[in-house]
Amino acid sequence: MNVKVVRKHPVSLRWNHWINFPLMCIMIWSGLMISWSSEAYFIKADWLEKLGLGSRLGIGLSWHLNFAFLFLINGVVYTLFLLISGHWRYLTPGTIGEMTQVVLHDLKIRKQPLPERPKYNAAQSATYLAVLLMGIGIVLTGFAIYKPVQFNWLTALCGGYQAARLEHFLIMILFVGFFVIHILQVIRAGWPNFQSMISGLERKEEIHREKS
Amino acid sequence: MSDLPKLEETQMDEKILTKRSRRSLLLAALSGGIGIAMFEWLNNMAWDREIPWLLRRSLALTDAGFKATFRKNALAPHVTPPANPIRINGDIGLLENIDVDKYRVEISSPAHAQTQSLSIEDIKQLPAREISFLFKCIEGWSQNVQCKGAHFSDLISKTGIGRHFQDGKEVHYKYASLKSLNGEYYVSMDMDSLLHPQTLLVYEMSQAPLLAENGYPLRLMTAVKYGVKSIKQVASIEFTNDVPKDYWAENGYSDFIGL
Repeated sequence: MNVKVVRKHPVSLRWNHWINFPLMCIMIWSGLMISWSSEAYFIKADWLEKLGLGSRLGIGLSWHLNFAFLFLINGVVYTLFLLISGHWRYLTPGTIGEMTQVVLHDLKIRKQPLPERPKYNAAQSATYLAVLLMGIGIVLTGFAIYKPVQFNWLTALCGGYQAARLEHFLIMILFVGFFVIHILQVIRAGWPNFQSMISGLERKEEIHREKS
Repeated sequence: MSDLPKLEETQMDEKILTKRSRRSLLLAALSGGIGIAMFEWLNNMAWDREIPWLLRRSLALTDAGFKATFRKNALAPHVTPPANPIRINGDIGLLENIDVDKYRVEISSPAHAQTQSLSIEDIKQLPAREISFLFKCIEGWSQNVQCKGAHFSDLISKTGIGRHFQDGKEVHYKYASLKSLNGEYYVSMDMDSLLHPQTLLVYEMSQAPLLAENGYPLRLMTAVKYGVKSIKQVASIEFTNDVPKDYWAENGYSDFIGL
């Protein structure tokens, strides 16, 4: 039997996505090991010791400063792919009104179906664009902390050394927040959507609402 | 947004779709397995000075890159006012009750048979330079400091130690090894960082003689490395072309830690 199939995620995008996942985990894990060495922001670290996320500065730095470059390369490849393939168009955010509609719809407050968009809904596009910008932000603040004298202009741009540290930490929190919502939405959107991020193909037999 | 390009749609036999999905899932599982295996391998491999050896090798590569592209004139911004009191974070190798009149700094290099001993007065005879910058600890905290001391270019001119002949040309040694009075704390400094305008042999901080806990009577202060390199109570400076031993490089940090 023939079924309708959409070629949703190109192969390079899928590899970028899945390579990014462990890289991000390693960056946050090693980053926390570094962060607790000095007074941390907002969070008390005692209970993290038990999870193996306590302060281990030397090891944390050795992972963080190595994998940062892999994270950077993966991000650059992803960005270049978006630009060259034209896929960046799918990250064009909708209007505030359209995004509000999506949020209300997903919270089951608004019942009407969402307007059709070819790949991502209005809120998704905006979120994935924000994630890309967060990636750029975390790299720039990272280098501002890493080389505050050699790249003193960058550190100044971030508002100073300690400001760069705080910004770096806050963007990490945003990434964690994104991650939680992303996982919940992927679970909600169901199997065909999830599997499209693996095979690239999404079956379009009935109307799915992709919200990952 | 109706102007967004439509995704490509095709018709496909359901069996072929299932087959392709299964193949992708297998590949995904395999890649995930390889990823986990690689993490375990990296995390459990032989360690070199407190970190996995591959991570240390790889850090050395990026360090070499930053060393090769080091901008000698890139400065840490001038700051004001300095923090008071100065935070005390390390006392390894620090001795109390120093007799400053007997205190000597030994300057040496392989090219000079004769070691030179300089007193604190000798160091103070060198042109006094003042710097202020945000001092950065590798732990993450930082504070403004203001210090006064001698620049290494003046020390090298005065003693004549620090350079050697290579292929008929006089060049600086690649490194200096700095040790504390009792030898318990020691750091390596690459020459570009040592000769940076914001690296000094310091005898005054916050417009007052060094306090005992800040490394009286003489310490290094550098804006181009984390604070662990700013050795207190320095009593030996040895120029060399081999990477000198470094207390914290032996304990898990990379040797360069240039900012």
